[in-house]
Amino acid sequence: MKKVILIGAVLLNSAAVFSQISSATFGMMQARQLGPAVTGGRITSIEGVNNEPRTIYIGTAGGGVWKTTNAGVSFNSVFDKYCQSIGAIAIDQQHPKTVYVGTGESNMRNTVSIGDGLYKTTDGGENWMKIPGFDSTEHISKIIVNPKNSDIIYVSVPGALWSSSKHRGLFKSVNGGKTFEKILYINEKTGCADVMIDPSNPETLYASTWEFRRTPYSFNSGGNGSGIYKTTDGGKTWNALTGGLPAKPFGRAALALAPSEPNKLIAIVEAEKTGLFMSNDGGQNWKQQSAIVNVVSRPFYFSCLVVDPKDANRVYRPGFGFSYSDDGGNSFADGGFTVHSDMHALWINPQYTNQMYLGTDGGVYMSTDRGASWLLLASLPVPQFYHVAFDNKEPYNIYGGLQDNGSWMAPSQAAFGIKNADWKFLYGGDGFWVQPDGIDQSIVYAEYQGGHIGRVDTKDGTSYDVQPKQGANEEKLRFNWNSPIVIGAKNKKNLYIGAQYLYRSTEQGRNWQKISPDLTTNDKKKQEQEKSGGMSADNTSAENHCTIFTIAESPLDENIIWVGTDDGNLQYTTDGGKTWTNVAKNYAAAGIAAQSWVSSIEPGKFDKNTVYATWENHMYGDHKTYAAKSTDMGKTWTKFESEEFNSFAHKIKEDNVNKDLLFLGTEMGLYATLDGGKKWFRMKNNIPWKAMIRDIQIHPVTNDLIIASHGRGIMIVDNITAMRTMTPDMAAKEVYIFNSKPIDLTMGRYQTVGTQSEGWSAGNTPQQAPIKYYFRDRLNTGDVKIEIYDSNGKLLQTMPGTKRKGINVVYWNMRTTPPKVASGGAKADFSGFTAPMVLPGEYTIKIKVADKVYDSKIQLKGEEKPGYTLADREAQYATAMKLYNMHEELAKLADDISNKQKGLKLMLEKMQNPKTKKVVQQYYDSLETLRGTLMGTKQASMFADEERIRENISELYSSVCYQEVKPSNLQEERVKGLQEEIKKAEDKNALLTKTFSDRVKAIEEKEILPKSKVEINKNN
Amino acid sequence: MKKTFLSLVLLFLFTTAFSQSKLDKIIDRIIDTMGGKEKLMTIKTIKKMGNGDQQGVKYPVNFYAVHQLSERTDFSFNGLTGYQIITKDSGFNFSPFGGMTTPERMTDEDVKLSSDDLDLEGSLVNYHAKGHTVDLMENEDIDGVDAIQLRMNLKNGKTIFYFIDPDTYYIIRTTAKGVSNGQEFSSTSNYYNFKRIKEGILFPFTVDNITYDTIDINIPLDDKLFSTKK
Repeated sequence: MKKVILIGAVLLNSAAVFSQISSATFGMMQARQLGPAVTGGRITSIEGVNNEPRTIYIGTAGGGVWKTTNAGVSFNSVFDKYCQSIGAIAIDQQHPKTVYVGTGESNMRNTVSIGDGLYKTTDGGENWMKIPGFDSTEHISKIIVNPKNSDIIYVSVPGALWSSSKHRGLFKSVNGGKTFEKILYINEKTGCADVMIDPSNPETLYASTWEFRRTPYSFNSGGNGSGIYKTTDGGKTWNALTGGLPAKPFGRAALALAPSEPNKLIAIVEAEKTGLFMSNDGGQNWKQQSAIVNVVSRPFYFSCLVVDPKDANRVYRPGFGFSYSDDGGNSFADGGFTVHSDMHALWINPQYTNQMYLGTDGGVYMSTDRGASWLLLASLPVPQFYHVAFDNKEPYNIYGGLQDNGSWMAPSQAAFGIKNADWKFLYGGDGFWVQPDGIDQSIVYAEYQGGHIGRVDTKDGTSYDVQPKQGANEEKLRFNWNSPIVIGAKNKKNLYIGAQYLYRSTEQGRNWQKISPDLTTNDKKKQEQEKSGGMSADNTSAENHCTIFTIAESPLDENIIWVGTDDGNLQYTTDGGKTWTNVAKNYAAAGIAAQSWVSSIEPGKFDKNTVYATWENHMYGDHKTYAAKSTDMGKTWTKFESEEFNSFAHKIKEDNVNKDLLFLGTEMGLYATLDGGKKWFRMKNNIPWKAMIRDIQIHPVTNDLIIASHGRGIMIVDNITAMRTMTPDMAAKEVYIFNSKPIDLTMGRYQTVGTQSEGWSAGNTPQQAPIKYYFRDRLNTGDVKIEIYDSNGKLLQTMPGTKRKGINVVYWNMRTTPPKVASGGAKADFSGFTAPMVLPGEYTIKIKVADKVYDSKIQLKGEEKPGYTLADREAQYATAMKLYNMHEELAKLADDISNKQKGLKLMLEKMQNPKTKKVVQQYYDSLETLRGTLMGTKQASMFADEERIRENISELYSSVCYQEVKPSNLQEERVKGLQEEIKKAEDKNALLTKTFSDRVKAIEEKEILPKSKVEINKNN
Repeated sequence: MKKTFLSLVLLFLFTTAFSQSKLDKIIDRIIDTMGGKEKLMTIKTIKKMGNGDQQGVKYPVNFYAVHQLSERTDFSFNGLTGYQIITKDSGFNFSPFGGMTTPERMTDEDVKLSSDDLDLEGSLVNYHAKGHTVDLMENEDIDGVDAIQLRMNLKNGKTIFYFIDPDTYYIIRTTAKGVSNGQEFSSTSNYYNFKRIKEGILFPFTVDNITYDTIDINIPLDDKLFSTKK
């Protein structure tokens, strides 16, 4: 019994300690955000400060809010802690540090995310507070701050896309957002799509209501709930505007008002015949105008219509393309041909209306000529990845597909950082899955929407279609918008793709075998996509349903294959596809909604019978987090639970080494557990807290955690070994030192430089030796020092240690302490910060924490390569050390001379006898002349360098210290030459000593010392 | 309806008052932890002597300040000493390491934005009387600590975010932000190695990579220190 209690106590204690482990424990393991910004993600809102138009806020579909204060040269993310799907931004132009952000994009495509409410900052985005009452609105399309009264705010809420809800309509606050009241509401299916205010008479507003609904397999835009309304009393009463507008039902209406002539209104009204309508009398009467295709196409998705702030005749219609009018909307011309299509936001600088910012599915563009030409602002890293893959090259490459921006690859490390130019385009359309071939990694499989898979040769960029085709007497193939392409985890020759059937190829997609029957429910009611769209037909494969959505081959047995569908089936085979078992009912028994999309499957790496999966059911209005584990091939499931979870799940990943370390990607954040799923914590390691995490991989060689987000690009947490090894015992310790894996000695491979003005640039993994240790608490008192010793016990370097709570990482540059460099020159010599790289071997690390010392070892490897063998490295080290010692020798000589000069100067100040003074002065001057040969002492400008012995040693020393090659013959020869120069200087010093020393000493004894004695006596 | 509105107003007033009271308690606690208002208000001069450290290279860093008058920071390397001097109405930077030969005058805006640095009591002491405002913001994770965050808008136009360890009430990080010469700036300092000096005042002896060996207060400082004349 005692034993049971003891074990229970230990378990409780472990649980308690595990419960203290959080993202903060691993706080130094900061993700590298790779972007890219070579092409953007969808931009949903752009708002600038009217009186300071260099300050602009950008809202994105999945990347949060970004702010520029330099008109777009660079951006900073200001919304990392909050929901990343942004519907609307509004600036209180009277107090421009006050900004409102409505979360939940309102471009209602199938992949649109959801929001979690309304936020306000009063300090320009440093801090945000959530405004109560909007948590379940899901989508916010527009916010207006009354231009004359900052307390009055209107929020337009289309509301839930996938379900009926009362939380929609138009809301108003009269107290600066403290409380809101719903002032326009139609019904549970109809929300408010647009609102605009008359700036000259802010009690007058116009709003459009919109009835809409999606299911996983259809979309309907339009209904009797849709309409256009006007109020002249700030929303107390509303009148439906009908004069000249199409008869109901109609769909979404986009509205625009000319700020310079507020009675002039324009509306694009989705109807049986979608049209452009204009009113010159504040909406009482409307007249339809002829409109080009771009103006009226896809109104449910393109709802942006803007009138120039100063010129009522200049109207812009960013939509599928970019159109503009110079006659108030009577006629439009197309422009913006160099801009990414699919536009959703436009902000015009009211102080200089030629300048405008355009938000597209491919990022933000700026024009300074009213849209005639555009510049992509390539420092906004908000791409929307669906999946990520990697290869085994060194450095490894990353592959992924982007929403509306094709498929891409990039190296995980690159010289001077991973820049936009390092990203290589692979395949067009919307990109989803990209997989490098398991054997020939120059071949990649990529796709565009609807399972259009291509085989791409990355050597020359050629590609061809390898999509499986419908067989004789087969049903039409149903490929998901985001069809799974998977390489076998066990057999790398296996390439899989899913339609309603599973296909496998072992010939790089040239030929396929169908290895399953229809694995979906094949519900015909869910296959009527040609009727989809509502008022405007819209069938682009986005609503394809009853399809395979995820495929996973067991890493332990290639005959075990798991398949999940978008209509709730989860099936497996243990015989390579001959027979299949559906376990949908079993997971439903664990409390997971039956018709959910199976969003990911992760067969166990340590046990064939173990499988993890995630499901997502948001398309039925259910945002619960569904993730579960089965240890009996899906017969029974244990659902993971956590108070931390708050959105639907896309991906679960089991670690390669520690079976209890799992990662879970959801629509609002990344989670990890160290105890097999009992306790989860949100990972905040430079990862936006609520980033849309769509895919997770762990590299088997580097142990990097590779994360694909739908709005914040690719993020890599380098080397998660510390997470693998963290145990309750370790976490309970005050201090714990981690062992380091052997490190390559490199001279700065993959350095990181660059600024955002050149476009986005991501950092590389530090190529220095990481020294990792754990503190249970932040060290507020006492100091931390790290000392490095060689195998002979010689102290090589001392560094300050970091003191944070959790894991600390200090990087040792694998060099010794730099030499003492001769001082007294006109400029500093930065060889004083340069040191030779140490040789391969084992080094001891002593971490001194307050009064305690902790020892560890680190192994440094010197990779042998042609032109840089171990012997070469040793020769280089020897030469570097010669130069190091020459610096110290010269410094000693310089100090000797300076000290003598100081003494002589003191003497000169006290001497009266011109004859003897001349001797002392002569000695001083001779020393100064000699000093002037040691280093530059006279230069009087930043741009005038004097090269003397010190500068010459430094030049050679720096070269040798930073070269990965044996010193050249001339370098060696130059060392000798400089040694001779030092010797000559030393000899000269000795000669001067010999010439002057005795004479000066005699003068001192005769003229200075007696005086000093007298002065001392006087003072006494 | 009237009753509901009244309740909302009362709730708002109560919440605001509660929030202000909480804020003042936090500030009082920070000041008490630092040694108390009375002691902090006795500080007339500060002298700190220490070293910066970069990959094993130590370089002397010394700091001198006279309350509400002037401050000077010296940093030395390779026999050369650079400095920054700030007084009430002027400021100079001198960095001879790359060949600068004469000190360079700071802009008036930079000097104005540095004026709070001359307040040796600390801006939190009697902040209201000094014309600053403080707000209690959401906690932030600082070095793994769920730190209390205060936002102080200073009279000189700068904003300082203070991050406070809720267990010790030590200020463990500050971030100063503002606009100077048309450019936004942001400057963060992390504080460690807290010790109480003999006068009972708490100082962080390590600020980022600079560690002070000695910190003295109220010792005489030569006026020449704050002049660019050699």
